[in-house]
Amino acid sequence: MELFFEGLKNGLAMGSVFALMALGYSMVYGIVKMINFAHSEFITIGGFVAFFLAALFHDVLGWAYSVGMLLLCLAGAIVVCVIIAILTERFAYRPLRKKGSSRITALITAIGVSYILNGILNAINNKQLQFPTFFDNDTAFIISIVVTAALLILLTFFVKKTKVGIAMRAVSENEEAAKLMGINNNFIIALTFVIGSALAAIGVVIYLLRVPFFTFELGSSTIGLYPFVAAVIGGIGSLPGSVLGGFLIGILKEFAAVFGISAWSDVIVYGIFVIILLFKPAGLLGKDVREKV
Amino acid sequence: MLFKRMNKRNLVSTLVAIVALLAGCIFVQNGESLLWTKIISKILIFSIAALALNVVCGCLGEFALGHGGFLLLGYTAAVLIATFTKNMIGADFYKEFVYTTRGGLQPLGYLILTSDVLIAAVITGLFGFVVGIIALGRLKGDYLAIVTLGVSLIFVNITKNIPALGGAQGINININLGGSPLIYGIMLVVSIFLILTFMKSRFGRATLACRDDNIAAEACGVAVNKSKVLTFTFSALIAGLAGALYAHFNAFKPIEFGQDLSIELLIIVVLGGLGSLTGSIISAGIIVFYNLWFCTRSWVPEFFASNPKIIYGIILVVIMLFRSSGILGTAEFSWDWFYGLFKKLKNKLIKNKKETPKEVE
Repeated sequence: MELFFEGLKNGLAMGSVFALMALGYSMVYGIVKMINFAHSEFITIGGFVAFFLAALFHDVLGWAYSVGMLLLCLAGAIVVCVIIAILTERFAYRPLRKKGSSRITALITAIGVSYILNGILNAINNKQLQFPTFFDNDTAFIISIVVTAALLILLTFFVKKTKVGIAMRAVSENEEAAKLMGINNNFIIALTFVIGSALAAIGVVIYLLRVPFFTFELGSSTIGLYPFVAAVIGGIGSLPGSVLGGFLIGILKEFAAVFGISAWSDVIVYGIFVIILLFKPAGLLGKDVREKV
Repeated sequence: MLFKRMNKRNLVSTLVAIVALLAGCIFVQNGESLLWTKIISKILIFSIAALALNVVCGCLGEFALGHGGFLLLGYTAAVLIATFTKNMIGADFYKEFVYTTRGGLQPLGYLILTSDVLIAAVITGLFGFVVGIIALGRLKGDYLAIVTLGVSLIFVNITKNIPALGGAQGINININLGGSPLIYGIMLVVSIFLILTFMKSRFGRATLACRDDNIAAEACGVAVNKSKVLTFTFSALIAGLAGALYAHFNAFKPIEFGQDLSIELLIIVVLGGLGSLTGSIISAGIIVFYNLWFCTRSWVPEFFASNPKIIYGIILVVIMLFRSSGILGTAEFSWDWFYGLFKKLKNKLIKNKKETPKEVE
């Protein structure tokens, strides 16, 4: 029973991280219908920036580890992630959209961008890094749950109630019609990338509070496809769906770890992913869109 | 059936090209340079794997990200079968009659190896059939890509976790590693022949119809699902063949068949052109040559060797942005085109000859 609760607790914490990252995948997919493979590299970049800022503040400037410093690191990570997301969108994805390329082309470009970013991270530092300890495990757990819940509420409010959020949903529903209604598509799409990458940065900093060791393969291999799988399981394009999927994946993975079969966690997660997709191709909370002739 | 369509000139040219390829393979195999044996072997194997992926991506029009998994299945099956045969007929016999002293193959060795590889390919094809039936009917587009990737990762992790199938370190055949290009060359010719025959068959044409317009094809009475699953199975079979040959080439760990290998194959297919078999072979040559030859030169900065991903990424993005159809697009090599080139050249020369005196006058 103790194992069960430990697994549940770790799973919730891990799940909230996956949920934050899944939101980025999900929003981008919902709006441009493209799997943004580069998202996993945004995650790693966020981790790198937070780590190097912490090292700078502590080792060079001699500050003590504190909440304020963590927030500064987080802000830095968000800013860098957002800038890189905007650049990626501007120089890789927008030209493709202008040409009206197929979805496969977009997917391959995304893989290419993710490879470039990963290669650059590898060239910067390919050793194992350790993020400093800011909180003990329990506090980190509470923080991850609270932050995820707060962000989800904020995001839901933003998408449902504000003007920009409504524009966002309009673009995702029908890009052409949205354009005719006077919505600036490119701005909305860039904004989606910005929100997604900011969430990735927040997610990775929360992740590092609990699991401090990481390498340049954090996003591409350690966390890997989990957030994306979470987004698809929950129903890609649906905000509560991503969160549900994130918690599901996180709990599955941590239960596997607690019960000593962590080597099999990939098999379990991907197996359940495939099974869910087969019975509900649109995901648990996704809308099933029929193809019209 | 395939040969019936050809006229005499093209048939002779094809046979000459095949003989030349195999002669080249034998030449490399008997040559002294281990590096070149390795490069040629890998080019041939990767060509087969890329052709398999191209059948799905180019001809079926769906996007599979998990062919590394099928290669792994072929690899594992081939190793298990080879080990089994070795234990059956005894290691001494094996050493004496199957391999030559240099690690090459004797006639009996070719027979054993070929049957081993073909059985492994058929086993992989069965797995591909199951995956195809499960996934292709319900999913398409991005979802199918991700599910195939997920399935391949499941294969990798299962192999990694079960010691009998390899464990983290993997299993290997343990003798005669290093490659015998002749057998790879033969298999490449066989798989090209199989693919062309398949694509010209009823199912192949049905598949092309589905790719061009799914709904129209269905309305015309094409069994869309059936032909899709069949094509996917066929692709898995060819990928399994490549994996089985990989087992006779070198020792690999299961983890090396993961996401990165699948994406490397994808890069090859995209670079060559989705739907162009010739393109896949050419770009397999380019990528392997780049990896094994260019990066190992002493005059090349270390940056290229230690960061293959940046180069790959740049290749992908640049191709997608500026020439999204790849090197060859959907064009295929054909003898008519080849001889047409000569004719053009000849005409040009004749024209030049006629024109030059005029200018002098």
